[in-house]
Amino acid sequence: MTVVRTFYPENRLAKAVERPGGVTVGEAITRAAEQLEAVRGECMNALDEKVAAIEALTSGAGFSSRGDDIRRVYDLANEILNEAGVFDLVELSEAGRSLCDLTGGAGKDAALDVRAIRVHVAAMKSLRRPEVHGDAATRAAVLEGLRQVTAKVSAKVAER
Amino acid sequence: MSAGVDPKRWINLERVSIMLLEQSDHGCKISSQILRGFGIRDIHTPRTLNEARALTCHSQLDLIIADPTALNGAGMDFLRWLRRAEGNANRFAPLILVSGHSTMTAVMLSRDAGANFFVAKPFTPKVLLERIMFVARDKRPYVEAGQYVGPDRRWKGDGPPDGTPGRRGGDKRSEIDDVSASSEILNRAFAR
Repeated sequence: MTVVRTFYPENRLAKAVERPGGVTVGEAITRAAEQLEAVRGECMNALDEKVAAIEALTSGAGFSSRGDDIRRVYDLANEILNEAGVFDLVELSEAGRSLCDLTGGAGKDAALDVRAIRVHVAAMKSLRRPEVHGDAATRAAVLEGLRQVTAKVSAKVAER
Repeated sequence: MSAGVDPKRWINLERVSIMLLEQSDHGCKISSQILRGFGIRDIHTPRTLNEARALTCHSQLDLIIADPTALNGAGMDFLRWLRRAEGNANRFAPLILVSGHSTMTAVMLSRDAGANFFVAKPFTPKVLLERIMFVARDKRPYVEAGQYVGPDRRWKGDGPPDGTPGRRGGDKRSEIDDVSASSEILNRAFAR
């Protein structure tokens, strides 16, 4: 029989938060947003580098849609999902999610068509172009196209 | 969030010590910037499993924020290790898991690793601060039972089903206490 122990450990965080001084919650959120703005440019460059890294990885003749290569694509797509969304690049973040959906289960049963990844790369690059970035309808259309690609590829994989 | 944080409320995170485990350099930079904006100065960002373990042995941490994919994919293993590391001063430190592309299975694994809360990425500063404040106010007891060590996973404080006596002496009998608000928050976190 499993022995269950229930207890209340000290919550140092609770005590720290209640110390006198500090800032209001509203001010803390404002300051955090300002801190983020300070690294926006650097993070935008990093996002472009991640998209370029996926492109370089998948354009090589030696790319394998199984194993480490596809895992690397998945990790980069996950980073794009996480980091673009913080800066309100919603569609780019969702494109990262779509690529995660596409590659997350790849390599287990069947090889993934690399063209589906390249479509995502092209879409991500277009979302970073000013004329697309500034047009909500175009961004939505790009994202919808990606969703269709992912759904189609996933259905094909499921059929095998 | 309904049990949310009043924007006029004063908080002091200046002396809070945090371990931040992030997947990438820029993910780490983004989260660090947000935490600095909250006034937190003592932010530890180990990049390897050994560094993370050593830090828990030599520092007193008030909060851990971790992406399970951090530490080259060993983030979850580290968290499981920490919750079971007898004698470690940070064994029961509040733990917020943050993750981007997550399946429900991954969320459940996070919960079973002993996390206090799961936050879906990408998150805004407001969401992260609300979750930190929630964990600071979390009154759930911790439980050590077989393979599980961490906060009580029962979020609803509304006691056993009607007409049943319950299995534990500590089960509530009737009214729903304010923990039910936490359940709502958790459900929304899962739904994102």
